[in-house]
Amino acid sequence: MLDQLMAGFGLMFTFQNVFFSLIGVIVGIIVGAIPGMTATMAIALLVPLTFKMAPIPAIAMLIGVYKGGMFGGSIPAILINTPGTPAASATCLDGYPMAKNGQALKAMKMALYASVSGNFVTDTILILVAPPLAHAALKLGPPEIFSLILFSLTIIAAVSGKSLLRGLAAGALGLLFATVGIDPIAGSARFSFGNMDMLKGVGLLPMLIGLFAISEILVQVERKRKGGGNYSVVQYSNAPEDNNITPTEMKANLGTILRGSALGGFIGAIPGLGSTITAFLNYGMTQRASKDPEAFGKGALAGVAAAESGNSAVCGAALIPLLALGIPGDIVTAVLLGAFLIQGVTPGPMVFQESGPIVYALFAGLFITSFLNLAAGRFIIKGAKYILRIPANLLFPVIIALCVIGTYAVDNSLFDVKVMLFFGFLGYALRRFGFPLASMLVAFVLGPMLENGLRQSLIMSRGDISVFFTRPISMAFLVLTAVTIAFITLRTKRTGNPLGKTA
Amino acid sequence: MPQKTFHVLRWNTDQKIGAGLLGLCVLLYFLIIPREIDSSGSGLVGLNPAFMPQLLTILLAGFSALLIIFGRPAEKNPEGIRPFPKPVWLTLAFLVFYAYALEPLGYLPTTTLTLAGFLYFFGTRKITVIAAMSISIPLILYWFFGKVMLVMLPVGTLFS
Repeated sequence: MLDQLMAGFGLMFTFQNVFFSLIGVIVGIIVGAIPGMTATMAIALLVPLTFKMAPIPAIAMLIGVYKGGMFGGSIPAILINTPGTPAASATCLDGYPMAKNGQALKAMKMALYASVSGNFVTDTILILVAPPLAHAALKLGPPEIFSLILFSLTIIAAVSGKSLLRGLAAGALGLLFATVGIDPIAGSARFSFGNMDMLKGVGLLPMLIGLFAISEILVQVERKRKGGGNYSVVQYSNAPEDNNITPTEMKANLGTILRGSALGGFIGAIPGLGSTITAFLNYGMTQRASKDPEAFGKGALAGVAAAESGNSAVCGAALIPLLALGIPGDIVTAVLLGAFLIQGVTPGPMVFQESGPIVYALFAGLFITSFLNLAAGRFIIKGAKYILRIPANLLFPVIIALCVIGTYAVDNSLFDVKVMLFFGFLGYALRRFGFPLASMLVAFVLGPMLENGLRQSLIMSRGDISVFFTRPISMAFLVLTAVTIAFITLRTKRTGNPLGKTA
Repeated sequence: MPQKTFHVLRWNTDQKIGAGLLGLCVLLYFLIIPREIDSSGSGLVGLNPAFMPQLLTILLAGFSALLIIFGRPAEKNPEGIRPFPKPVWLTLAFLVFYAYALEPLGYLPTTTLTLAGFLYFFGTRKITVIAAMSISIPLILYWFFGKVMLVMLPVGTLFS
């Protein structure tokens, strides 16, 4: 395998291939940085351009877009509290507070380093263990998926802040919102209120942009009215410690990054789960393991590292089921599958035999695009500091215009814009009354998978709930969930705070 | 010890919010779900489209009840429930105008008008800055989204 990998590097390392990879990375970062635009859209737009290209530069360019998009989404998450992609929503939790404290550049650098590190680790996992990992991932059926998602929902305790009950209530609301639309199993309408647009359900991006960006603007308007003075967004600081990551800080967060990479490697290999779950799961685990969990949500560097390493690690892992089994792991890899087929590469168990040199060149391309992501990201971060100097009274109207058009662009739908406004108002009201937005968001993202897992399991077992307890992997996740809930309940009772510190 | 009171006006914020949510749950479970979700003909519980919404409504009702029983006392939550200030309502009204005017007026005129309005609302007073930004920003966004990303932006039903 090493010989084949070296041959792959030889094939990949040409000026043309590296050039197109760089184009892909830059396009990915820029598109990912625009709220409403996703790497999927960018890949879909670039696929026609690859028709006349050779397979290696074509696929390398598209992989570059994927990886660049993952990091790009963190830029607006940190600067304007608006995740550029759903996967970057966990980055808002600590990235934006860091930016408000004058540490925007530090947050963006940590996001970049964590993202690239996560990419490297799962690229290595992909190369070493793709086929067996893909087969193991397929052993997870609906009961296991349900139990895994249930365990993931315990993150709500970590992001609930001081009031666990409000966090749980917000989570339940998020799960309810996720049921709007067409029932995925029976096919009937739910909560459509006679409106055809409601049948497609609540879109994740309109909800995200409304909950985070629009609500933030409304909060700023209220704050100015109460306190006077100017609107405050992010601050720019000249102090080196606010703009750079020291080796000590990087070393302190290495464990978090490796854990996020491992989680991303495991969850990314399971088709359909996606990078948002990994980001929040790693965030929650990091907070629980931290010596200072109360710092999370207020500008903790580890929070940014956890979120970004988690979401970016899925990039390499999502290629595992795609290459080994021909099953796309998420929407992006579904579009990539089309690109592979156009280039004459048929992913699946025979891909290593039929297109071995191209596959190993792709593996080499994964590492090269990670390096390019690092270089391009550093360059773009230097430019991002000029955004920090724009006065808030000029920036807010532009953010509003960008949010509206970005939301509209998701589905060419004005209804999505109205959904965004609704959630903007709801997000403002929730923040006013002390309900954590992250809890609602996590539950909304996990809700459809939770419901599908539960109902498919009950259909499989004809209503017998023992199906969750008789399958070992499902049982293991349920035990983990029960232990976590017991631990949180005891700690809350003892200290009055789910994080352990006295309230 | 949970704070026990039966006088609603003396309830703390958590209790009032819990009561509001509980009322929403009752409305959802007994009125909205039966009206909005057709669960007739569903045999297996997994096939019933109302199963998950009902389960979640019961869960939310449970958390709301816990909020009422274990709500934080007023001294830990002194802010209470206050009405939203007028500038927030004004901002929302502006945003609603933007969303609803896009279809009849089209993207460019609506964004130009709204951007100019927001710039003034957020404190910009120089006419040159307002004019320059409210013309250039919509054009740049129109070029990028409409021509580069090939998004079909609203042209305005009044003008088409």
